[in-house]
Amino acid sequence: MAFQSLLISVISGLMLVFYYNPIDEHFKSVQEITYNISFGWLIRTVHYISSQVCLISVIGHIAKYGTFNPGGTSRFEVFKLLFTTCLIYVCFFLGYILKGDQEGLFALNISQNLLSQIPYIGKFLMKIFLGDGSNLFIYSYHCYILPILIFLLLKRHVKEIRLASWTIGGIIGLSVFYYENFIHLHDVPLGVQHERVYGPWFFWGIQFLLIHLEVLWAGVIVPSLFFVLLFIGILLDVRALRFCHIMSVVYMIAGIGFRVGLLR
Amino acid sequence: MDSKYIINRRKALKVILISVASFPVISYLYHGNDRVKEIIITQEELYNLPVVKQHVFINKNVHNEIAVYSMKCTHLGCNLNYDKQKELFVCPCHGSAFNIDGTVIRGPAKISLLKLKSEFDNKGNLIVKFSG
Repeated sequence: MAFQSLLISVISGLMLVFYYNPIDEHFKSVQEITYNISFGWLIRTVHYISSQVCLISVIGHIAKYGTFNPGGTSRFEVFKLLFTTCLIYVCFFLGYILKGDQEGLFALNISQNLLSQIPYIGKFLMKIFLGDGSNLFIYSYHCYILPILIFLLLKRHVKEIRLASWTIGGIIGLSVFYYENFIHLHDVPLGVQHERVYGPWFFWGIQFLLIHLEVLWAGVIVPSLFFVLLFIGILLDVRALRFCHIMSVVYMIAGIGFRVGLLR
Repeated sequence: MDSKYIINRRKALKVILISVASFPVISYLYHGNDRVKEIIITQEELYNLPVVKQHVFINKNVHNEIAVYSMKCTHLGCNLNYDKQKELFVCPCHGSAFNIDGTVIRGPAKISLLKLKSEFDNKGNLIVKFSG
């Protein structure tokens, strides 16, 4: 299901490319796709919902198979797959920036500032991965480089490529439901003051940490410690991996608590 | 032949080739200038200060001079909300708050707001230039 939704996401994304303007006035073109172009709303919400379904089902997939290591998958293969998962999340986050509204703009500013906080190489990394302020770099990473990389890395993992009709139907149904009920919550128009702006759901925890810790600790050291532990866990010691599983559950619960308003 | 060296000739060539080829690619990506933004505030707008225009805040300070502040949070760069009644800026992302003279009231931000350079042109309009 993860791969099927990824496929649907890629197909709908390819259709969005025709009308999206990466140079300037991103938000205007997104609004035009949503409200003016016939069935643009459907393509856009399908792109959004299918990527969400992909993210969540990847987590489910890891929770189901990641702990037991069935079928004797080699450790290097698991390493590669987890790296691919990270790339999928990065791709989603870049899409969130490309949305071009206030949330996207803030996400861009925050990620630029976070990257430039890394000592010595931060500015260099920021310029290479996020460009010089326009969305063009992010656009090319999101639309071309990352999807191609993800598919190349998944080549050996995916045994058969198929698109079940119930997945397509389910995603389209979910998208229509989402459009009918929540589309007014989806975009935060530019120039309007909002009391609180939240990041995408897997960044709620980091947003919470950023309020209470130093930027370098919350945005760079804690996440990179987690990833180092994760990859050490895969390659050397399973106990580190178990610790990472528990940590990510705690992280998600804390993030949801922050979003709901229980944690401040 | 293999036992004498750690890496063989083919591998060494590969490493050299990749590093030579990656240099132009990285410098190609690294290129890019900071864009300079310019905001013009007309005379009419200057009469009723304070003014908020394109995330720039213009006000008169204690010495009756015009002071221009960037409305970007110094913590991580979100655009600040201006609260007219309480006369303060609040960050919607992580909750920092600033006075209208730019000083920090509440964290996580630590540095006060960036003061921007401004100058009058010959028509009496205020021109603010800043990068980013």
